[in-house]
Amino acid sequence: MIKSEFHTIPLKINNFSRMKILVIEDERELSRNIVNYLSADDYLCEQAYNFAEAEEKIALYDYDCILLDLNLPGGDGLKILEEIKQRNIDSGIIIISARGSLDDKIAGLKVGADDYLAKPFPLSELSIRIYALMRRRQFSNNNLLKTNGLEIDLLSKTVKMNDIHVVLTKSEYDLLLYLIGNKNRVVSKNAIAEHLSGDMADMLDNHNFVYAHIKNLKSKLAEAGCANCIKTIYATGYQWLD
Amino acid sequence: MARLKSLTTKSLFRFFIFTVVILLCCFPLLYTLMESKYAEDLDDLIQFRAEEFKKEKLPSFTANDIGLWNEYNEDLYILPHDEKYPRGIVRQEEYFNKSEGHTIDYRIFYADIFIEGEPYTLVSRVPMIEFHDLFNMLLTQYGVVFIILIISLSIVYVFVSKRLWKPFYNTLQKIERFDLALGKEPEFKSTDIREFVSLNEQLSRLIKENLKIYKQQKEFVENASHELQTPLAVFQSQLDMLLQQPDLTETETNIIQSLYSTSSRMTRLNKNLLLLAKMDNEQFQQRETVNFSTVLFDQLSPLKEMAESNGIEVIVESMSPLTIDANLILLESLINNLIVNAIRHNVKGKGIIHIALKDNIFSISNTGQSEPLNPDKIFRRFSRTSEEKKGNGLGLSIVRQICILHNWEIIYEFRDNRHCFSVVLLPF
Repeated sequence: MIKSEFHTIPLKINNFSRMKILVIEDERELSRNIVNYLSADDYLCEQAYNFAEAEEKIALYDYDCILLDLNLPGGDGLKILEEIKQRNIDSGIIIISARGSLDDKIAGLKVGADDYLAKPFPLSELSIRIYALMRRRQFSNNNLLKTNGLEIDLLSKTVKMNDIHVVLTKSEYDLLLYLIGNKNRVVSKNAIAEHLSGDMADMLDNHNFVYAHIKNLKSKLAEAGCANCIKTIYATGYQWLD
Repeated sequence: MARLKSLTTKSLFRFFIFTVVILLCCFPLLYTLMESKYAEDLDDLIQFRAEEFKKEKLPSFTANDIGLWNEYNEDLYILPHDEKYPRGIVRQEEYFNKSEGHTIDYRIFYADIFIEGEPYTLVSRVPMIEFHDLFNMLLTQYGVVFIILIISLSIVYVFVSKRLWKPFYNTLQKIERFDLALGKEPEFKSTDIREFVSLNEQLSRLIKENLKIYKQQKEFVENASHELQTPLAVFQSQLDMLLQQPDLTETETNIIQSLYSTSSRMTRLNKNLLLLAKMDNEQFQQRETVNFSTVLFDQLSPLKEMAESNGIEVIVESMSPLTIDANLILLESLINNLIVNAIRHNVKGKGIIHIALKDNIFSISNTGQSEPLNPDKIFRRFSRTSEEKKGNGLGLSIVRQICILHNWEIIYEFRDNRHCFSVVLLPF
């Protein structure tokens, strides 16, 4: 379990209340946006803007999750990663790097990062990665996600509404999780397209298929009795209302 | 274009022509020279004979002897004096020759003599060599010399020129093998010919400079792309935050959407540039054995969905089993780029994409504009074939670059009103 002196509330799968996240990112605006975006999840975020600050914070406090930029003023982010692993600190680590090369990715994952996100990335994607990481790490008995009367079994990947199965395609299921993982925030159509079709498919400007998936998902949910869970913001963004 | 000849062949040919022309020009000269020398000899002979006659025979010669003398001496005879004979010089005149049976040229010399106080004319003559005799003789001699000369000179010439040009061919071979992308500077063999030493030095200098610039340029593109990623990340995160603002109007949302599109275009462009730069920087050396159709279907499924949402039908025609040796990331990128290309430039609403793998040829064809594309242009970076800015102009350059790295061949064809790209893969 998480060794944190800051919070005593046990973590739950579907409610990461007061989880501590350290954002190691030298670009202040990006760092601020990450913190602001993640605040809706009720995470406790701290920021480090350079190598020394990052080292200090890691030495002093425990974090559930560390977002690590590799290009830091004052040192290589990979060194921080090595240090974290040496000290046996049990934090989930997501590398957010502008380098984006495969070698860095392999090196990072080898040293012990849990995930790797190349810049630029949608904040919603970062949020869902943290969400997924936290869920993986809290390998507890609770694999049920409940929201708006919807019950999602993350292991069997089934969705129920009032004990009735809602049959979704794989894309629709992924889309649903993506929206719920970013609940109460607006997720852009572009982010969804990228998330659903992988790294390469962002080559097409046309994101008609997102609209089609949203439409199908909405009608399936409405049929099951969850009519107004997804709010559409002028075909640009979508929001899961909790 | 004229057929290419080797340096030795060309110079040997020129040398040959030149020698033949010179020898042919010399032939009449030689003939004239021979003839005049011959005539000179004959002139001396007839003058000598005349002098000898005057000295030896004349003192005891009588007018009665003339008839008998003339009967037995065909070429030294006495005529009655006549002023018409030009005396004191040798002339060439035509006379009938009994043994030859026709007239031939004679060298002839007239001298005034006195026999018993009466003036007579002494005629001393000798037949000239006949034109065809001299010509044939000369031609035979000349021909033999000519052939010997040409053969021996050619052999010597080829031998010498091969030796002489050896350092040149050496250097040429090294440059032919030189590949800027490999970054290995060729080592030229040392030579003692000043021009070739200079050539090698200058080439080395040029290559060194080029390598340096090439390396800098490659690094620059890669660094620039990396550096751009951070501001792009900030930009995108700001947009994500902007989208969170409550009560956005439709106009505002439209602007945000347009900014998202721009942002993803920039990101895509940057990603592609980075991919190209990395390929140039040889960062995709790793190869693995992959099943082509597995990779194809992995890439195809999300793209097929997108194609269908644009009203484009994807037909997979045939799939032969094929195992290849490839870099997986690049192979995925190649397939992706080709499919995305086929979607992007297709007819919206009623387009068709055919995908096939026959033996080791992967082909993808699509309906689209009815004019064939310029095959020289389409693979160039940032070359656009249409006014519409659909892609970023790098997709097909990436495809070609990946093919080059794997020694595959990419072919574009326009047939049955379809644009067809075929990749000839190397089976494992």
